Amino acid sequence: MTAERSDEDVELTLPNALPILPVRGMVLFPMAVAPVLVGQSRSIQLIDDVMKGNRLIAVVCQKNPQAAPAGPDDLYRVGTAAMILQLRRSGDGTIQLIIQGLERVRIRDFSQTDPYLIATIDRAKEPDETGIEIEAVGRSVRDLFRRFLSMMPDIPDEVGRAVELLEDVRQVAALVASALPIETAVKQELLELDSVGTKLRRLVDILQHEIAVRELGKKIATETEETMTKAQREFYLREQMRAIQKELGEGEDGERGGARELREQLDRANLPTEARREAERELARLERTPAASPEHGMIRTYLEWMVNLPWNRVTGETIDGDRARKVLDEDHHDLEKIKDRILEYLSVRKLRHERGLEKPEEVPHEPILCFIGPPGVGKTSLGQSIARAMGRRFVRISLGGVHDEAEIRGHRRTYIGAMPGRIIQALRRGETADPVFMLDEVDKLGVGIHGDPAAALLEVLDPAQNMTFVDTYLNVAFDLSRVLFICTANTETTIPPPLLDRMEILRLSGYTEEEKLQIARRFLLARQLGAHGLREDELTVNDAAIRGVIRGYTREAGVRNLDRALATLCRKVAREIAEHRRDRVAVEADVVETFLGPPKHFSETAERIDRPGVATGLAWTPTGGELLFIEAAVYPGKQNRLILTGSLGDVMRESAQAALSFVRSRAESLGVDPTAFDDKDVHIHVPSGAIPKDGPSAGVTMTTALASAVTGRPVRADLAMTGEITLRGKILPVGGIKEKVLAAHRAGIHTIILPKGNVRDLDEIPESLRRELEFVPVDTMAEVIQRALEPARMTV
Amino acid sequence: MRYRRISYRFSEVMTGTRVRLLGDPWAVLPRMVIARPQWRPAADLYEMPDAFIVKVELPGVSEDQIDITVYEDALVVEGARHCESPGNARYHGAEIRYGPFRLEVALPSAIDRDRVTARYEGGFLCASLPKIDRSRL
Ligand SMILES: Nc1ncnc2c1ncn2[C@@H]1O[C@H](COP(=O)(O)OP(=O)(O)O)[C@@H](O)[C@H]1O
Ligand SMILES: [Mg+2]
Repeated sequence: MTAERSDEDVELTLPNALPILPVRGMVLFPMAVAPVLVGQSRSIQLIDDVMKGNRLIAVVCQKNPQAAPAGPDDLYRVGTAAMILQLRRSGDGTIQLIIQGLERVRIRDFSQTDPYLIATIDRAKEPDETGIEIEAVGRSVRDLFRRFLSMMPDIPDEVGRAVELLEDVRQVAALVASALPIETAVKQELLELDSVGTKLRRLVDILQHEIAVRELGKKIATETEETMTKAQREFYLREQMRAIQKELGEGEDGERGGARELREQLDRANLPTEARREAERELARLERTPAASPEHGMIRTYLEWMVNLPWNRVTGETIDGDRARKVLDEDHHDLEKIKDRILEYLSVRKLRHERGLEKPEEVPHEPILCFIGPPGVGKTSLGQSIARAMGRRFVRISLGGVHDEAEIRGHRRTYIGAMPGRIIQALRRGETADPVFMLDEVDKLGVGIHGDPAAALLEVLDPAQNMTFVDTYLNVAFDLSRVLFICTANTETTIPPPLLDRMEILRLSGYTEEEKLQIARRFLLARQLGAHGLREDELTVNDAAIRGVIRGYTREAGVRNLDRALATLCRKVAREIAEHRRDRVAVEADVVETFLGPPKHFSETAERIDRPGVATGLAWTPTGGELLFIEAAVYPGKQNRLILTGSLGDVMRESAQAALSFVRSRAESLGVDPTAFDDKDVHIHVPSGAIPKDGPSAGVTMTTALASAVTGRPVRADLAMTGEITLRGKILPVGGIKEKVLAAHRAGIHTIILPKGNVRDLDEIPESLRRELEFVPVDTMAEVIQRALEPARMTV
Repeated sequence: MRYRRISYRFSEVMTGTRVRLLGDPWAVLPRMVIARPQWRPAADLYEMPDAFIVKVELPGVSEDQIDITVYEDALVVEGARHCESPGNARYHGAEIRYGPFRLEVALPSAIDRDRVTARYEGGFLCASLPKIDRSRL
């Protein structure tokens, strides 16, 4: 007998009367471990009594949460026997418990109501059920729950993993039911359902609903893409529900699954020949398959996909260059170069189209546009504008975290719950075959064990192949050549090289404060006013106030948080006006705080550099530029060690070595005693935790910090620097200059030291900013030291 | 047993630390957990030249309450620990697990099930699981 199952049920011994602990706002499920706070004095007495004995209680939810203390009539009749695992009495007399649900019980009679409730109980354990149906619905619950969790950032990840690991569907039901943020009454209803099967089915219901509500909510909140209308969504969900019920053999319609109706839809859907043939084959199969078999639901779902895809529905108008320009200008401030390039791109497309040059074999491929830049600089919204300018639909998918080829290309139809890949799903949502299709976060595409999603994507983007893109689920070709694909990313360094080869990079690096002010004034504020139903005269915000918001509440390259802050402002004002407390509100700098709370950010430089050994560097990150404070210290030590802290990357370590060698070899010319490093340990630290500390561009900063530490001369506080350094002290150019300069300006830096080789990058910096900043191009470390360090202080 | 008596408050000797009644299980408790109703005692498994030894931390269990099941590839220890406290006790903290327990230990290789022996001493259960002596086969 070696094959004993480890999760075999234990025979529990339960007495036939148990003290009843009424609880509010929670339902304890069998096998769930939960914390409970006990405060009522009779409940405390109850706990005190059972702790001396078997530590068993029955936890029953209050039907009527207001009742205190709850009498027999205020309680549900079904609860859960539980064991007290841990107890802690706090200073205020309340008791914190950790209890574990053991088994469902039904209250028969209350044998005592004073001082606390005791009832005779009947054991009401859910019967164990197994079988294919239970497994299928268990699978659906797991899948839906995972999807649900992905929308709930505040439920910890372990919960999702735990649900995957549980084998017993009863445990799955208990965990999901406990974790869902649903009303107590619904949880109680779940507890009372008798069979695991019905519990799971009810959970499918609830999860579908919760997911739909959240997706819809998200959609309304972000107003990103035009996707499904509410009616369509309901239709879609109902279809899924029906498919699931079919698989469970619950379908009611005895007719051959609405085959006639599907045929009619098929006639209208205008399918290409190959697809039509496949659909006919499946339709014939549908008619032969009994409605109760799981096959039936699967075939039906497939056919519904086929009839609902926009095989030949297009909306693209001919592109009118002037109109396109107008649309782009209406939606976006400045970005002139990008807009020019977009218009060029569109006119080439148009010309090719007019001259019939679209056959990809005959002409070189046009590249795929890829917008690269930090969050909130308008990548997505540019895509939306392009769609508007071309009179096309806009759809968007995020590739972040996609590491399974099937997510792009779809699952084999034989799976239960199989679906087409995201490309086809998005096209169905967009309802046309020629939308502007944005592929967000190509830089976050993963590689997993289930094939390479980048390869699948390459096929999607390649004009030589995408006319006959075959989604594994559909199993027939869909013509993607009419789609205009646009990619976005925060950085190109992690885009798979074959994809990068096919792209033309358009860079958006971020905005200056002045530009942000303009964007807020001309675009964001007007949109937020509209979204909150405010008229322009009801809320006015002056420039000083907007600047106050930018400086005190945002620190970003883009304008996303600025947009949010303005939304908060509008919401608060809308409320005041709706409640007739005021007619109109004029926001000036000094009242921003009353709406947004105390400012979150202050200029960070001045206070950081107050002693020798600290230098401000400029770093590039995928979310824009950042300041990087590097600290160096030299102290007595026997081994002449170089200690690096702050989890620096390898390249950064090399830079640190180079910095040390340089300062050592040039001690004399730096005015440092040549023996300054004898019997000394050198410590270099990069305090800020959030930014990737790789890249050679910190070399100059490290060297300066070190020089400052050994000479005792502090670095000028309003000065920042970037540049790579060779062992001989020569300064080499680095990347990301525009982002770095913007960040420096945001933080109140006035002087920027940069490699001479980077001077031409300064052309990209807006004029207004160039006027406010002093740039110091350098070739050698000696020049840096001379400019960066304060004169030596006289020691008294 | 040795005792040391110190007439200071703990907090006066160990500056900066406060005595906690118990550790702080609340701080680390994930929000929801699903668990089997039996608890699992801590155990060691180690190998001797001729046997595997499974040592289980099981104080407060009477010996005749412990069930040991020996499989070819696993050892299962089951039983229950009962709580006994005086009738006028009032708890301020409790974290010792009572009630049914169950421990499963997978064994690295086959054992001679007929020669398994177990001792219960000082709160530990020690099961000795002789390896199969291949030379005698
Ligand atoms: N140059 C600009 N002019 C007007 N609005 C802008 C500009 N840049 C960004 N925005 C606005 O900022 C918000 C965030 O932009 P979004 O497109 O979501 O950024 P991204 O996709 O780059 O992260 C949007 O509301 C967008 O319209
Ligand atoms: Mg975006």
